[in-house]
Amino acid sequence: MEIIRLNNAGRKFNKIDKRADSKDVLKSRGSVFWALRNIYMNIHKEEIIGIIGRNGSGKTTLLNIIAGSLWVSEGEIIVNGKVSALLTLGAGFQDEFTGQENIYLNASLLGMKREEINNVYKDIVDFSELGDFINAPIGSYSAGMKMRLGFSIAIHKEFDVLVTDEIMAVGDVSFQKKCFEKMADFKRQGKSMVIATQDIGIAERFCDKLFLLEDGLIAASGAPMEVIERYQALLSKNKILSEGARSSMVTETKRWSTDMEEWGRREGTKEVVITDFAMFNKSGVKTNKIKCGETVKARVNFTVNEEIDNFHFGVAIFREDGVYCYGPNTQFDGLAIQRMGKGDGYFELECDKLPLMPGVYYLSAAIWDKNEIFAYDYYKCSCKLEISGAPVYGQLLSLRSKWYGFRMPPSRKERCVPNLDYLIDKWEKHANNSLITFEPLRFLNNYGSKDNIFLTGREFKIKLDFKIDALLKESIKESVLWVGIYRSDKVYCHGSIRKVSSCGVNSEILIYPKLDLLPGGYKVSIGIWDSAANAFLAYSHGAYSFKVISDKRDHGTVYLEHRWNLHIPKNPLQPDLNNHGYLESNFVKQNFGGHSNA
Amino acid sequence: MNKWVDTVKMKNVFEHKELIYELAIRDLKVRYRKPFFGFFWMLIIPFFTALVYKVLFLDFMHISGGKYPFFIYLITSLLPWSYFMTAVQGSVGSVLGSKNIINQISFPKYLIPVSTVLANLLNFIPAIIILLGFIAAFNIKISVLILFLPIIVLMHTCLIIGLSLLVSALQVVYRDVEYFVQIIMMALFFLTPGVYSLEEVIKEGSPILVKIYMLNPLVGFTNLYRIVFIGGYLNIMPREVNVFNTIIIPVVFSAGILCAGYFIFNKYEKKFSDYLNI
Repeated sequence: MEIIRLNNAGRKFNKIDKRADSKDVLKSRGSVFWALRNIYMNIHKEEIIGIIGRNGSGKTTLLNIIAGSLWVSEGEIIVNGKVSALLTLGAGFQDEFTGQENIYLNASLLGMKREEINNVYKDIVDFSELGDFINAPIGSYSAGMKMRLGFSIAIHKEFDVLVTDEIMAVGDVSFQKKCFEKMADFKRQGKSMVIATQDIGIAERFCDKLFLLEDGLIAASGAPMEVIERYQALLSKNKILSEGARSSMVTETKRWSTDMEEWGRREGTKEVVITDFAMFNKSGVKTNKIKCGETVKARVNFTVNEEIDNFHFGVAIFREDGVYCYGPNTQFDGLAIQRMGKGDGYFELECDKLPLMPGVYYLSAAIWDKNEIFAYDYYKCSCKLEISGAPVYGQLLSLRSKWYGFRMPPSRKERCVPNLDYLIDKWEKHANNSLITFEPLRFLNNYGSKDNIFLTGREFKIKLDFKIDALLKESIKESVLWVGIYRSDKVYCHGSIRKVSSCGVNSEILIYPKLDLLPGGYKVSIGIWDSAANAFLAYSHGAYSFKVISDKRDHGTVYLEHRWNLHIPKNPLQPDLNNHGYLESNFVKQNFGGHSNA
Repeated sequence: MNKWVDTVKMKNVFEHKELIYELAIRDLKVRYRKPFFGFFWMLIIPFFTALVYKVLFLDFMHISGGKYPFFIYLITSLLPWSYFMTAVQGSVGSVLGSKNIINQISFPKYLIPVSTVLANLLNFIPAIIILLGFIAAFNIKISVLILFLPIIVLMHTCLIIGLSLLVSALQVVYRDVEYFVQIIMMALFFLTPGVYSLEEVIKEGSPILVKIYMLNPLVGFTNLYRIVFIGGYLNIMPREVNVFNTIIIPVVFSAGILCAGYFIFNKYEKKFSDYLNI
């Protein structure tokens, strides 16, 4: 059901130049500034719409139009439902009135009837946590108290669409949490929302559809991922990766296990004790073996013996040779959990379609203090995980990649996988064939410009140009072009092959839509493999290097999409967050929500 | 064209009666909460003004109000006048002063001047009751015409609402309106038989000027109030006071101003967001 429709809506403001002042005003001939134009938008029931855009792009004007506090200069807006706005909290508060009087005044201004206000009055006071202060003049309140009261009133109005402008959370941390819970509640209740935000993480996690505004026009709309990409492209038109920005980025991560001899051991101060640490497959069966690409869940049960605060949970995955694959923790992922009380709890790390290649891996689990100085309890690589499947030339993981342009992949019969043993001891060496000439590789970023520093989670392209002499016409029928990405310490991460089409000048582009590699140095090797001869016709091994940086800290080599499920025994000192006595948090983290703010 | 403008139309003024009431109460509370005598000031001021004029004109200058006690004669015109004046002058800046809510909450903006008028009406009603007490105390008969009082107050209120809408909207765009209103108010005060008797004007003035003077709708309103308050006043009215200038002009004028205020407000409302913040 459609609740709001904007049809070619636009809004102009008269620029009133103070210098030319009254004469212009009388003739009403000031110059005109269009804050918003040609806006087409439908808001349906149960839809969460996000509006992103730079400062001054028209977000607030659009929200005000939807909320009804501004009218449109052209076009139309059709509203079939009640709209509630969280734009300016507590507009019209009278300082000399008590909180109670202001609730009635403000709620009436928002369009509530006296009877409705009577019904929700108690809820408003409870939610605002003002207690007895509700009978004190609001002039004596702190700014935070006023905001809390304003927020509480605004969210207790019946509505079909809620319009909000980056004020999803006011007050201290615990109140902010409450605000966010309330928003999530509304989402569950199937209310529609329009949210203007700068926080791309929120836009991506929370919204069903995004609109990108630029100079008052809709620059892009649709699925969050695509729109955010456009937004980032827009931002970086103004050189987002300036030298200064680059220098503040994370450039290194931990890449190896430093204490392999300690694997299997356990240490910690034991305020919290891990009681169980196990892996589960997608059907919830406890197992240590999964297939490549399957969903896997690591679950850690723990018992809290003493109340602790400032802690975080971590899980790490190592390959059996000690290569650090990935080590997510709740702190890197921005999950702030303040305290936990005594009791039992668990945390789960869930990875959909684990992209690690077949092999044997070991997992660690730990509950750390804030600064990772000591662990409350730490299981070092005590959980074995075997990933089965046909091994594909020893690479670490399968990154999402594609070749530009369509070509039939090599058939199973002629699938010729380069035997990389051939390249052992040939690091940083070339073997050129006079009949095959490689032009230098070029690395391209998401704007198509040449670079050698890339951001985790952004598009990455490798452009290869090479020439094959017509004399090799026969042998290239069974040849493939191979591109391999290595860590600078020679760990093979990912390889791609492509059938060589013809002799002459070849140009290929290998595209990684999202480069999931974590910060550090990487090398690229290329070669043309002749499976008939079981040898490389030509290769250039580890000759080209690029760097990956990120604005987010992480351990390991590759970013794996994951999700945390937490179940934490609550602190008795904290107000009840829900009736079960536990804080449930399901933080869904997808595709670099946090990487995009750069 | 714009759905929101439709909702702002005054046809649903009664839908918003609770909000009008809440805003009017806000006005009154802001005005009277802090002063010790609070609400009483609103009653004391017009009565005291009447007393001052009475002492000045009657005791010092011996200008009489004719057959009826001069104090009653004064107060019957000064009370409606003070209602008229405070409401109109109070609403001139009302829209401008509420910019924080106007820009940020979607509600019908005309409610602001209307609620200002309502607040003044709520002041006016207890004053009327005290006035009736004075009339009784002066042993003046209250005739059955008093039943028309609500109609006259309603008509008067329509006029005031019309004017309030007009000036409050214009004030946002043209900030000179405030001073203009002050001058007009001052002129109107002396052009209505509030502090002097109508009979004197008719007796002393040239016939043409008197004719023009009688066209002033506020003269009609003053006469109407006196007719309903003072029993028997109708019978001693001068010849020049007739149905045309006492009933038809005030009714037509009030209706006209209300319509004008409505249209002007609707027209200028769209400009508010351009002008409110500068």
